[in-house]
Amino acid sequence: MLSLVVKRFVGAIPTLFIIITMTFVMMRLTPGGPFDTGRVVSPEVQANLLRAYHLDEPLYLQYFRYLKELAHGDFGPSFTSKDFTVTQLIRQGFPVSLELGLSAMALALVVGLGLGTFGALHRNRPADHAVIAFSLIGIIIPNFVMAPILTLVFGVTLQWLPAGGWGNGHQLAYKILPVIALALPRISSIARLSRTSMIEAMQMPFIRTAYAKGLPQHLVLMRHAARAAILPVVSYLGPATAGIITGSIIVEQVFSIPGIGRYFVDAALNRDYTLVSGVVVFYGCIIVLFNLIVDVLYGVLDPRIGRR
Amino acid sequence: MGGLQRLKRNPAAVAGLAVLGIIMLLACFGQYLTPHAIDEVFWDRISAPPDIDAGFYFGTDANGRDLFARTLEGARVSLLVGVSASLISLVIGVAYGATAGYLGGKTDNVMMRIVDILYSLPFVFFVILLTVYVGRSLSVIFITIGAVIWLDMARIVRGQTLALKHRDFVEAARALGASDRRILMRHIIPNLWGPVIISVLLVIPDAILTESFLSFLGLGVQEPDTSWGVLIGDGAQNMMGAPWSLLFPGGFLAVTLLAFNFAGDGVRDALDIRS
Amino acid sequence: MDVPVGQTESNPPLLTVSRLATRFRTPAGIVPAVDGVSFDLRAGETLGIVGESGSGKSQTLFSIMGLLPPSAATEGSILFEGRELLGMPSRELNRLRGDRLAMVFQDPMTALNPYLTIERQLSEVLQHHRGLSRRQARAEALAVLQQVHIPEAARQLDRYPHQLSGGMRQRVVIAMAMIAKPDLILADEPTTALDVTIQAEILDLLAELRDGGTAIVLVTHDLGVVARLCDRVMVMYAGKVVEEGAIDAVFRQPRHPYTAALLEAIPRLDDDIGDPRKAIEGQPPDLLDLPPGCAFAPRCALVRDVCTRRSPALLRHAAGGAVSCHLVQPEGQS
Repeated sequence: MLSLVVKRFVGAIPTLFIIITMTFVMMRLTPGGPFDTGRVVSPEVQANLLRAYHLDEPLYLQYFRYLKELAHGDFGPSFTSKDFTVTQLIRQGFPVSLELGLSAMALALVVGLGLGTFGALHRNRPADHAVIAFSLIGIIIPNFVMAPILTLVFGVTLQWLPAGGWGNGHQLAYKILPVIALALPRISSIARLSRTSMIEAMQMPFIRTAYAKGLPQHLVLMRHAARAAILPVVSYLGPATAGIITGSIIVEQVFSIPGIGRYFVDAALNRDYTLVSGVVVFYGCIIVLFNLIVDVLYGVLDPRIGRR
Repeated sequence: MGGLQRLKRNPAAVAGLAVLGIIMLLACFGQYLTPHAIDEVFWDRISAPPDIDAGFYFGTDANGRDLFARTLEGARVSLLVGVSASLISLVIGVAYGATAGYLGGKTDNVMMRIVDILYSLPFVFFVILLTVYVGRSLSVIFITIGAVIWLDMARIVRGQTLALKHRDFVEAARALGASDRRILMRHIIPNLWGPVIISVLLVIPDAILTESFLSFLGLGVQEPDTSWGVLIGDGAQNMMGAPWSLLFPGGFLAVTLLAFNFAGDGVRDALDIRS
Repeated sequence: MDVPVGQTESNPPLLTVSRLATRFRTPAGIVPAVDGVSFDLRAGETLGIVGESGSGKSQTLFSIMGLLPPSAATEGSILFEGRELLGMPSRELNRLRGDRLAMVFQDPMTALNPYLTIERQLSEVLQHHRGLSRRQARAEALAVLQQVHIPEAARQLDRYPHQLSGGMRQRVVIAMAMIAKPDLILADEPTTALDVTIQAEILDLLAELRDGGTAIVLVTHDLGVVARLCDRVMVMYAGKVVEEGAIDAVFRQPRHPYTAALLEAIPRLDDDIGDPRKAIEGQPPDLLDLPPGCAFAPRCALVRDVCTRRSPALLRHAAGGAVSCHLVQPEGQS
């Protein structure tokens, strides 16, 4: 079991390095980038840049310096914000984005699994068709179309919920719409996935054995079928996280939520190179970490992996 | 050919292809359906609702420009970017996948491992990162999108190459002394067209979606050009008084994506069963 | 008229199947997989059901256990310990299944749940049927694993199916069927998926069960297995019973041409290598398109005109068995 974890951990490191190296390369070598010596800047600014970023050193030394700073959680100064470093900005925005993302993931799992199982149990009957149709909507309508529509319907027309903002951070009303908007595409995917995997699981021969033992349907479902059906959903958690992170950019923008996604967009619009790169590296690490957790979780749930 | 027959029997796929055809026609020739230019400002009709008689089928946006004309222009740009990005991803994906599949063994393993690693990363971030450094012209956009979404294509091409590698005509060519590169270019790549068509059909909606995503945020297509993403972004900001400015371009985008999905699935089913 | 084995009041049969018919609705039509099967089984008796693939032997077992898919419709009567199983509400049926009446499946790798430990899959039977606690059930699971001669039973309890060999897995499947000490075990080709060397061990295990008083219905296509284990044998063809009787009687004097051909087809040690193969000519019939009359007629060496016109009835003969063939008179003369 432990060897499994170690193996996965080791496998995750190249991914991290690719992200970090790619970002570094882009920063230093892209024409038109901040360190392009062809740009015309005043000598004082040039001197400052040189000093701050050690541009006079050979490239590989700069690389190691970069790695060291990252290891200490230092993403460098922001290019547009005079008062804050990138690290500080990330630290400010992350709790908000984290709460948003985790809530969306939890909602997606609960509703998605519920719908999928429901559809599988009522296979090919009207209830099932409704589930399939619903999941198609969530997948087809992009979240940047859905989010404004949700705001329009619930925030403006019906006025049931605030149309934007995060309140003081503790008010549920402000969180409902953004979490739903973020969760919706994931609910659809998980519903579709779990429905198919549950249908397949129910047709496995060991389900027949379970019935032959006289077990009632709810036990056969929960104890036998669910263990088989959950695995594809667990595999999907990795891409789902990437999707939530991507989606959070839109949702935070549309609902004016002060998370990292919002900073990222502003940074991109204002060409704040370090902030943009910093967020990419940061989120990249999170995704790698999460994929690692999912891999290990999968290994725990499927006894055929890592056990001879 | 059997595949065509099967395709015809799939109503969703046929409907999808029909819708795509219509949209493409609209994109190419739609400008003749409307008397208005895409950047002509009608000062007396700021955010006005649809008015069929006056020719403002979709109403106007916050700057008084005809939304119908702009939606059709958006179709043109979005499709252009989508197809261009797909073609770029096609070139990269085929080159990468065919090479990996053909060389096999360790090289193949390493190359596919890299694909696995890249696959887990959210590519939108990298596209945005690239546009920050490289700029936001139209060509930059579809190049960066294409450079990022070739992964699925590579996987499919590799799989097909592995299957083709052991077919008789390849063995024959090798026996005759053909070089690897010649075999790849002359024999394998021309035979990849089936899966490639499917992949392209399935990649275009991703590309369009990515471009719309960027444009929505203001990081994609820039004024005065427009795309569905830009229109949706504008529409989202003005939806309170003018919901049509969000719903029309949004609807077009959703329908187009749906059509691509059905058509792509249908073509895949039709072509796959043969082997 | 079908005649069940005679019953005496003092020893009513454990299982009475009367005119069991199971039909499957398929896109191509209705398949009569089981077509009018009747037999009795007494407590402690072992019945072997033989036939080719598609003869309906496995479907007979599934019909008894109530494990048919929704596309199947069943008719007839299945009396187990005096209670009618067909049409029984699932809650009642679930109390019997696994407890009084259990099943052993053909392929142990797929019959076991790969995601649960051996112990879990054994314990749940007793937890459910006897209300035992997990700890008590676990102790029973250990005991039954030892009964089926699994080495290092305590260690195997916490392992997963894929960690066991094929033979051990099948022992676990048998253990699962045995653990509640049922009166009847239905075994669907329990040795077919196993190596020949392991087959013998599993058959020994089943013999132990038989000796312990459990009634067994054993479905197989291997006559050797039947000879070794069973008191009586029932031969099925195209969903119908063609012959039935005590093992010795049937094997020594088969009355149905199909039974005779099956016995002929078994290679023997004293055969010459050059002897022509004695396989039965022709193919098993397509159940969707059965010929009128006797289903075996197209392949029967003794076929006569009447065989292609009328379906023969299953009739008792003097030696106590039953045959379904026009060529056999009720008194047993052919």
